[in-house]
Amino acid sequence: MSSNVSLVETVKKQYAFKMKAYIDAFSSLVGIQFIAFLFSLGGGSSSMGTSDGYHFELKFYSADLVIIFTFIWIFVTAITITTKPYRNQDFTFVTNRMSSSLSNILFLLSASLLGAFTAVLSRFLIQTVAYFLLKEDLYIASVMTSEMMIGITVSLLYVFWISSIGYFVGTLVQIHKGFALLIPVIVIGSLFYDGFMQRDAMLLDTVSILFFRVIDGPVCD
Amino acid sequence: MTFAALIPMAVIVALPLLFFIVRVKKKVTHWLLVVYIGVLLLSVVAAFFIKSDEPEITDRPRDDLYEMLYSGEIYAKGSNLLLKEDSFPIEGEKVRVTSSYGDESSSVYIERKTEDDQKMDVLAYGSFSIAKLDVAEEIVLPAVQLKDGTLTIVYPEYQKLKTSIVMNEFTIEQFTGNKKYNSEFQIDGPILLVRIPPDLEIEADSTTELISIDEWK
Amino acid sequence: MNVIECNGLTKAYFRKNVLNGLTFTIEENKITGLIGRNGVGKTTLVKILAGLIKETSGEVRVFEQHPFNNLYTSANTILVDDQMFFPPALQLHELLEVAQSFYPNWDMELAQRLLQYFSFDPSHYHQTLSKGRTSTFNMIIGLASRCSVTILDEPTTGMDEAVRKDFYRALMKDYLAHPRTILISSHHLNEIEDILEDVLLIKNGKTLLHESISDLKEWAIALQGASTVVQKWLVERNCIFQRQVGKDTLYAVVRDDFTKENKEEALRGGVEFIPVKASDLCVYLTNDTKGGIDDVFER
Repeated sequence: MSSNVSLVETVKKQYAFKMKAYIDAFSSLVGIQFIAFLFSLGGGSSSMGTSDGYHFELKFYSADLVIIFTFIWIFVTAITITTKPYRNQDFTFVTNRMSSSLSNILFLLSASLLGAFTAVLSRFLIQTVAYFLLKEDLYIASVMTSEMMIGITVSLLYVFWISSIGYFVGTLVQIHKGFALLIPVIVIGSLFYDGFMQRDAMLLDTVSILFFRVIDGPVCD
Repeated sequence: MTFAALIPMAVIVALPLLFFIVRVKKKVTHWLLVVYIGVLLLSVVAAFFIKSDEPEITDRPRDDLYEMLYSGEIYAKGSNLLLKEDSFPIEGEKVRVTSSYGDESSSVYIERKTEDDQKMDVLAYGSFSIAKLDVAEEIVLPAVQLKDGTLTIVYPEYQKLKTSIVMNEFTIEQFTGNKKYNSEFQIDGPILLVRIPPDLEIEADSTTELISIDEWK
Repeated sequence: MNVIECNGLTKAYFRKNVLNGLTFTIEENKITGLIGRNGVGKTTLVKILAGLIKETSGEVRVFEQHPFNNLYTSANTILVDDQMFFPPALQLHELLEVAQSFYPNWDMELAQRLLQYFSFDPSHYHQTLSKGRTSTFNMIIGLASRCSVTILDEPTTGMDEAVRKDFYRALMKDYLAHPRTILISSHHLNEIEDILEDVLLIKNGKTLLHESISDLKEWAIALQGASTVVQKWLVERNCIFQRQVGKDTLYAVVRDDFTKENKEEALRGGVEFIPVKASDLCVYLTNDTKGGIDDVFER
């Protein structure tokens, strides 16, 4: 009467289970991207006027903010699924620690994919609303399909990377609650420390190098 | 992006979506997602109907209008900055200049040609850009008219120019190496250069100040 | 075949031993009651058996495998208690579907009929259930999963009397149709006495007694009679429990190792032999003092 189960089968089942059970994460994705979308419509303008009768105004539209908000969303989601109630849910059904983690990773990967895809596509929503509803004249940076694919892939990798940081932090906190205090202290502390030492914040430098450095030479022509 | 490019993208999205619609029992969240992705895809389609220009970024260094002007070489070197050129045949020996420029007087720069071709050339120079985008074409330039020995310059009303740029996301730019936009503005001019034959007599009323650039050479 | 084997099983929390060298074996397809007072480590034991926590030392085998972090054990064992966590986003009927996907022997028809019988709304959420309803729902999961080892930890918490009876009857019927190894932990024997085959009595983290229920019923006997006479019979016997009944009458429980001659002699001396109910015996055995709560008041 006892039955054998394989790890792969269990991970598959747990993954399917998590896609159902953690569905609230997806509603919050839509919510958070919608807020970012509204901010993107409003923000990012600057202007200049001269005495001889000119007033110039400039407004930037892009989905950058939506992508950043998606980072925050996946970070929080990754931490959330490491918490005790979520782990206990796994153990209500068939699992071991390995299958539990593997299915979490698969879930985060799927969530990252969805998040990255919608975030990059939201640029078209911003553009459409700005043009048809706000009646703006737009200069639109051209984007080729291959570039869209690069955008989605790169965003996916970033989002997935952030999720792994969140998962790691969440797991540390589960090992010892002290990390919940220690990690923010280290992060914020390093900013202050660099400030006292009168140098650029190492953390911010790292982040800006990672996200905003243009990789030399066009990858796709 | 071309329209044909939509097809592979549509397939990528539609397949999981179809699977989802057929196989999964739907909840509010599912509908929310379906509607959201639907709206996003519609907006991709709608984006094809947007009439827009692609921003042409000129990375060449902008010639400095005033430097050229004060060195007296604007006519020789400033063809890049030339926005409009009018030419009027001259009748008579004398031209009066008048302009409408609110309370202050406006400056008009005078350069004498070396030979007499019985023509008066009025050239408008200027450099206007927003975030490295050349917007000079959208600037309304002063209207110039020569009639009965009087050159009338009518300056335009207060001008407002708004530019909106849809940028590629940083995740794209990072790997395609596209230029970043900045929020630089450039409002130089417009200045009017009037080139007249060597012995033409020219005078202005109180609305206008005539500045000869010949001595600066 | 032994499904569960424990040998010198010890579990310590903060250096305090909750389980202290527990040794027992449970055979296949037996219903065993795990009896002990609150806080003797019943919950700790079943969590170790279900592979949720790891023992500190000693040996534990379920299906001849070490249960901790073991997929095989996890698939063939289910632990039903009032701490089962279910995802808040899923409705009851979805939880059944999820359970079906995980447990190979799952009986969906049974689950749905039980859900209907106990008049659950399948579209409700697990969080909104009251304590008793939660226990009932968890029990449905436990029954329908038909795991080879089904562990029920205080399964009837919060259930009302009628549901309790229904539940034990359902358990019995399903067991008869699909025999499996069932471990029911409870601090009270009397409500589960009828369905048990074996009783495993735990005290201070150790096995106190592991007997079949029929043996347990004859394991001890009570003597009642004039104090002086009864006291005489208690000499050199380990008295499990004694109580003063009225003036000069003593009620004492001892291990039933009287020979026929002994009994006749005692009867002649005016001592009455009374069988001890298994549930009472368990209470007496797990008490720390011989007189029970009376000892507190008699100084």
